[in-house]
Amino acid sequence: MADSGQRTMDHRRQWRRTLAGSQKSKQRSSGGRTSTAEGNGNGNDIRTGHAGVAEWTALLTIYTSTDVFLSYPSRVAEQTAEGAWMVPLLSAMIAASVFWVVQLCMLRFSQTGLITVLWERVSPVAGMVVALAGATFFLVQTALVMREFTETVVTTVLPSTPAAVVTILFLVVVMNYAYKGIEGMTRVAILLSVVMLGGLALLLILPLTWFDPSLLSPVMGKGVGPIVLSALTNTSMFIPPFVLSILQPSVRNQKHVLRIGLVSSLLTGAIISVVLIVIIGTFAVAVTGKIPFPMYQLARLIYVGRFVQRLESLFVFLWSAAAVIKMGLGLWLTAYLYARAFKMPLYRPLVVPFGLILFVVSFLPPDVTTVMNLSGQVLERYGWIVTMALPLLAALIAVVVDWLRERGRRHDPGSDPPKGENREEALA
Amino acid sequence: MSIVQFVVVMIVPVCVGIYAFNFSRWLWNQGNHLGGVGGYLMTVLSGGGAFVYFLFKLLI
Repeated sequence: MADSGQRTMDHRRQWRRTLAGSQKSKQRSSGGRTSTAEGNGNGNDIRTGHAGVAEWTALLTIYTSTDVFLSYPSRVAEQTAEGAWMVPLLSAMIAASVFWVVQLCMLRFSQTGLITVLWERVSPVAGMVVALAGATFFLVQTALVMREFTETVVTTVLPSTPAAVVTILFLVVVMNYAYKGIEGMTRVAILLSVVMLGGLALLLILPLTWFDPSLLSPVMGKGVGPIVLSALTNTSMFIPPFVLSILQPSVRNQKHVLRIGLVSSLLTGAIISVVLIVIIGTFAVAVTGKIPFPMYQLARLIYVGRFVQRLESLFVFLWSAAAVIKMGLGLWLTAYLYARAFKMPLYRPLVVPFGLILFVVSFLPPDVTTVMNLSGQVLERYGWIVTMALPLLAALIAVVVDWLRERGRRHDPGSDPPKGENREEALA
Repeated sequence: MSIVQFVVVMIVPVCVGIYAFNFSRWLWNQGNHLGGVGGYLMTVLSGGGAFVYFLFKLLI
């Protein structure tokens, strides 16, 4: 017994030495920086891995574009009539501009995420508030999306299956997907992006026999005012400014962060705009505003000869894959931001509890009409505060506070030295 | 509502609650008190919230 205990202790000591050695070699190879994705290696940050430009772009594009499978087209058509196709383009341009400004601010803090910057340079409370606001937003959004997708599946392809069963099946896949972390999620997204783009192109081309360009006029629909207002509120679905400002250290090549944000935002705007053109040109605005899930109806219209018809069952797989990616990233972001808010070293143990909360929150609204009202009246109307205003305001505050502190230090050389390696680099 | 139905439905929130509680306790014992508080809050929200929700669903 004593021998086995001694062997275990020796084994543990050896393992600790090996771990310490590998960490030192990692620090040497990265020029003194640890491999943490966020922060400056103070040991309290979460290791998230890294992903490339194409992978990040695919993930963010799929996340935002998935809304076209839900009630988004009918909501926008109701708000702006024939001019609906301009709304996503305008929203994408606003989102890209906001992201550009945030990135300009973040240049001052090289290779550090927004929450770390707020935590270290402004106040821990500021970092915690931003992280918790983001976690709450993604939790509510993912829960509503989960319920909408569940109702879509139940009302269209599985009418006899209880909604809870569909949600549980979704949840199991989503939790497994979120558990894989950002590297796994981005790789799945880049693999599926080709299939999704091809499927979406087919879905838009095959029902073109019903397309009537005259249904798109008058081009401006209800006018410039409603289009601009709808574009401003609908920026809540564009998450790159918020997500990339927090997770920018997870991008493998830091020079390409701006490119990811701009390309994913504009690509999403273009995809949704094309989809809206086809939907409005096929159904007309009056009908589009009344259909809960226009993409499903579009798939049902496909009739190319006697043998190529009723292809909606094929496209359900496409929607399910897109839904899993969207809900997976939403769940992952919720767990990650909550862990960051409370300085937890891990986020994975939070995935299952948040999965359970998602299930409960998604079933709190009594019916799908309430879910769609909540999406349109609450999340869409006020969501931009989290996705656009919060990162912009936080980045500006961080820059101003950092500038004031630096100015104070210049006037008072005897004050405390700056903290963090990035600060040292900047001052050097 | 039978006792079997009650046990089957309640087993998930209880298990998740225990799991989240153990994670919180581990964080607290590591000296990460802020993380521990966050973990305990998560335990109440997930395990407790789901327990109450399922209980109401079963009773009403």
